[in-house]
Amino acid sequence: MLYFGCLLFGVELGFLEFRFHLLQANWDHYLLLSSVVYFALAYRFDNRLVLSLALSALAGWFGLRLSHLLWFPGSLRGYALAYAAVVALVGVGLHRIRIQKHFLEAYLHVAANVALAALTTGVIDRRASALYILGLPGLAAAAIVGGLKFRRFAFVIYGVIYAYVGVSDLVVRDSTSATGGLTYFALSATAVIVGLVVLARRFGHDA
Amino acid sequence: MRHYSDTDERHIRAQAAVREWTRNGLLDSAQGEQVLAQLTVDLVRTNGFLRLALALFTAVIVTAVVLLVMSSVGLTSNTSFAVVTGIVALVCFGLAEMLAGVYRFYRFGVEEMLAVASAVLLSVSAAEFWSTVPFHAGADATTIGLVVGACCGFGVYRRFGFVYAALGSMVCAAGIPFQVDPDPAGRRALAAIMLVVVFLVVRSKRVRHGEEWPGDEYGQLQAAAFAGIYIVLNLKLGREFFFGWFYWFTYVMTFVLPLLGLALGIRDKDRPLLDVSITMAVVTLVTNKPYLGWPRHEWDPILLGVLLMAAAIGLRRWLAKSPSGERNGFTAMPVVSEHRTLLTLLSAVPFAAQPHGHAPAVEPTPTGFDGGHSGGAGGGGTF
Repeated sequence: MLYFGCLLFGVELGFLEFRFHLLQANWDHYLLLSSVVYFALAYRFDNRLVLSLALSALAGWFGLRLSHLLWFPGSLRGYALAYAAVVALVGVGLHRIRIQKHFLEAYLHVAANVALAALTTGVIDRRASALYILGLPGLAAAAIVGGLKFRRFAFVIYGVIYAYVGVSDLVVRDSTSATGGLTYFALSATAVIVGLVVLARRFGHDA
Repeated sequence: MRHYSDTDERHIRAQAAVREWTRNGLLDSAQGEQVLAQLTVDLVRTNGFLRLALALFTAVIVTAVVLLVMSSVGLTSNTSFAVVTGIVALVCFGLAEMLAGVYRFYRFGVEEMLAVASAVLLSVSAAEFWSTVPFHAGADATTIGLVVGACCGFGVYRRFGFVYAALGSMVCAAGIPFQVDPDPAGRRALAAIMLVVVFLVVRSKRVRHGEEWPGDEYGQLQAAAFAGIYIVLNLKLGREFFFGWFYWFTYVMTFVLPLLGLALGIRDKDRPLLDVSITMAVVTLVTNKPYLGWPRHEWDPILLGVLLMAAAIGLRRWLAKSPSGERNGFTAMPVVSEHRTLLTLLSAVPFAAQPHGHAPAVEPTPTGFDGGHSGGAGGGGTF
């Protein structure tokens, strides 16, 4: 109900702007306003889904929107990494001072996805800095190790998938042979599956 | 027929229930361990996230292998594509059989994707092969693909117990009338009749078995078939134009079906059917205006949202008001918190679907001649 109410609040803000053009060119401040409201409601009612909504609205205010999420232009990639760092730090900070400690995972899900997506698109973008090529495996490895250590397997999967996409692009980007590229995908995916099966057998049905 | 015994299936569901009860404090950990020790199974399983990743990478391998064979051998004709996909389908099915039968994989991702890929590839192969046959005997390639897909999906469900394979089979079967009947009303009616038959068959099994396995699977299939009937009969979910009695018959059905589903779901305490019926009721409210040809307004979603929130709050209060906090077995209190994996995935949804759209560009300052909302005596700008 709370989540639904929050969605409705967003729709109403959109309607107000559509009809009355209150903020006009500064319409993105609605995102900041709704983010603040959602944060307050999430902590008041202890609701993780609303917290995610607050984080997404905040991300929108940072300049990340769906149209950009699939492909961060160079200037937005830095904002994305900054946003991910801020979200992770806020999550860890609130966890340390014991305010809704269980929200930490939601903060880290968002931060990990945004940071890994930004780094992956940085690897794919040939004009981007080579630092992304170092950063992606590093962060992916951190996500995998942390996920295994704390048995949060979603982070393991994030690390595996983003790293696979980035590395695959590096491997096949200059390939002129379709056969070579397809052979790479068949063999590399098999290797990933073997690794995941080993993990799955080790950790069993733990969630 | 099925790879897994009844005992295995029952134990797996009981394990999940015991873990949930332990997590929610209904059992202490010692009690939970004690009960779980009596529910052992010799199956290889994994958690939801690894299962998803394993399925994803298996799909990558299967796709790469099909394309690799085609490109390396230089096959380009429909016949060769049919042969390659047919052979890969058989290999996939053989591997899935081996993993489930010999290595005892259960919902492990790999065997699931292999079995599903075998069904998809076999239906693609059949369709491609049919397209090369000179005399089609009244059926086109898509129809043959759907027929084979429906049979294969059902076979995979019977063999491995993947409910989504049965759902795929149902979708393929319901799609067949859309290929063979040229009359738009006729094909929708035919598809609805097929789904009604499926609904009645699985409902009888659901009623016989109750909520216990395999009744839970039949419950999901029943709800899916019911949703299918609604989707086929709600003409505003499609783009075709209809007139006459069929149009108004379907309009009435968009109200009858959710009400019927709610009545059955509440009476039988059938959660999947209840969820589907509530969704159908909301969709009916959304499509009501287009059905009647009434204009839509920007504030419609807000009114709908307020209505739904009021209904939910009213229902919650009504349930909570009763002396024992429940009415006929329904309570507003959360008994257990289920679906942790689903919740984790859902918590990421807002990122891809923010409730705020781009605000429209500010309209240019009116010149006095470009609109008729004020002072134009109701005339538009083109007046």
